[in-house]
Amino acid sequence: MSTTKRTVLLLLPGFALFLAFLALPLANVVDESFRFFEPGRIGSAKDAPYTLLNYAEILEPAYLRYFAETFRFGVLSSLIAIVVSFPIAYSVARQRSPWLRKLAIGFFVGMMFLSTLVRVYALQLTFGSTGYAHFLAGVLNVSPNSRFYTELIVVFGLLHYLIPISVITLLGTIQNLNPRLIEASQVLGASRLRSHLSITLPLCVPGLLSAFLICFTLCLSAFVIPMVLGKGKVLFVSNLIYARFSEIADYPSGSAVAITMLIIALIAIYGITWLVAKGFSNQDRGRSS
Amino acid sequence: MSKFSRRDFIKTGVAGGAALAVTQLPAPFVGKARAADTLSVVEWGPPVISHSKAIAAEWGKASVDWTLHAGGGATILPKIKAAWPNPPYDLVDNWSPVFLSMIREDWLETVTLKDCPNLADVPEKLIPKDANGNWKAIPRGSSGGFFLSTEKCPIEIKSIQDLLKPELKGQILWPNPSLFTNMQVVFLAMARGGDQFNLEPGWEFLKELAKSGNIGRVSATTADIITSLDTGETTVTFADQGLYSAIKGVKAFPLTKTNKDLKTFMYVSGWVVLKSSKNKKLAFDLANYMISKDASERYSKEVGEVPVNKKAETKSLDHLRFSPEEVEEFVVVPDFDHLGKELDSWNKRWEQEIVPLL
Repeated sequence: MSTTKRTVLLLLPGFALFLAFLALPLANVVDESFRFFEPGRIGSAKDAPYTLLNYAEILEPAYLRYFAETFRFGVLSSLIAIVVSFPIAYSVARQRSPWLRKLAIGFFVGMMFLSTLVRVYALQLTFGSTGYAHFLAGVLNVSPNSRFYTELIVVFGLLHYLIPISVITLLGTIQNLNPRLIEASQVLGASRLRSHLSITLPLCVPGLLSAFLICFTLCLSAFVIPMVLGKGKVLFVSNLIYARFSEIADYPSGSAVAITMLIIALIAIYGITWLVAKGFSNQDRGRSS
Repeated sequence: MSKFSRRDFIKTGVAGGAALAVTQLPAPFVGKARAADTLSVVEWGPPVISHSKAIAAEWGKASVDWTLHAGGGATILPKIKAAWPNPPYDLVDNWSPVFLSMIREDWLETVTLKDCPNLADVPEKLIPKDANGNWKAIPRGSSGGFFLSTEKCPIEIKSIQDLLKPELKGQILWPNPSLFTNMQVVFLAMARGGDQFNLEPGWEFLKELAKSGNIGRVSATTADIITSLDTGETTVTFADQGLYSAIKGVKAFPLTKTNKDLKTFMYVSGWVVLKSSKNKKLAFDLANYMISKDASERYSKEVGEVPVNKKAETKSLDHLRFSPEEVEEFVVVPDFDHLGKELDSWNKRWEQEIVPLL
């Protein structure tokens, strides 16, 4: 059997699964997004005509605001997650005691297996009206039912989810970083802070970018966190999609919002990756010249 | 130095995933094996589910797989649609507007007195019908939706206008349009000269309410309502009798017959048998048992709705008992067909005009 045939045969199962579970359902959603929805029905009729109306309504300023809100929460929470996770990941990676290191890694891996619902309701109990809501809101001088407080709790919810993932993502990057580089810079007179800023941080940028993109993607698709902690005031695009599919049965509109979100998210993720890669190549060119 | 490498992580993930897959693999086969002698029933959360489970256990002709509604009554529709013509349900508990959606899709089995003899004790006008007059649902209870406040409410609510009072900052739990088919906004509209066919004054009222900061939470599920009121997070809301009965952590007061602008809307809840069911006979039999005189009396006592079985003796639900004059003044009979068709545009209006103000 030729190599090409073997390659095709080996790729076939994966390709079939990809086609059956990703490509075809996605094509179905794309088709539905262009269908006309007759109010009162459940989804579009089989012979519903094609229309652009479902996409046109997304251009309403209110909907653009939902997209902007989702991205705002995504960027903000991902940045905070990385800032918090990086020192944690660094200290775990450089931990001298293997026992403590394993314990810490086990803790963060274990956190990832904790159900999102459990995390969310734990936060609601802790920072809701039965917990420290009045205390914390008093400290911040806001009402526990105010939008600011609600947004804050949503960010807490996202961080609860993102920090363990960021720590695990960054661990690999930091472990691959040769500690002798830091030692060398300190031997040459650099302070600890300067060594980290000029050596650790730049060398970890690919890992930081990976962690950011993972966090950002998870934020964009977060559903339970804004639904429970957002009190119906903070709605992500995923909540709009859910409402259309599950509560109103307007599948065409829900599909249009989902496809738009998919396209915007892909552009954002590829855009960020391209920008960082471009920055790196400029840096390399600067060094070599 | 031992490292936790990517390879280790992937290995752990693959092992975990494989273990999960192995535990889940038999599920479809088990499901098929059980299908022949098991009824699959969709039911509301407490207190309804506990009541129905007890009644089904007494009935005892088949085991029952219970599925809970997640959100408003309409949330079951996409699940049925996605799996049609083989949805995994035989019998579904729902209410007036959802019956109409299901009838429109032609999903419901016609019911006759032969299938459900106890329907002879139910007023015929309460039985949902299709365009040809065929009976399509088996009503169990009749109930109302109304505003209510709890003992923790900072003010006594005497009129719907009181919802705008500054003392209620953050105290109102507002159901989103998918709950109660948006009747809460219909009532706001009626208070300002509109009705279910002219909601404009209601939207204006709701904008004022949203801007006032009095809406502390928006509920998307009935569980939100119970939890929020029980914990004292909010103290005023719009709910139905079933929810009112489920509020145990705090004393709640239904605001019916209080003021002519605090209206109550009436609806019917009950069972439908899906055309796709492989256990129609058993499903009808269970529904029939559920609406018997004895079960209806227990339904009234345990769930707090008024049973539609004429023979059932019910506990006094004074706040839902209206004289003909009171019906004129306080009760609204919704056009659920109209509401169901408007729900999509109302939900979008809610997202576009109200949520940004909250």
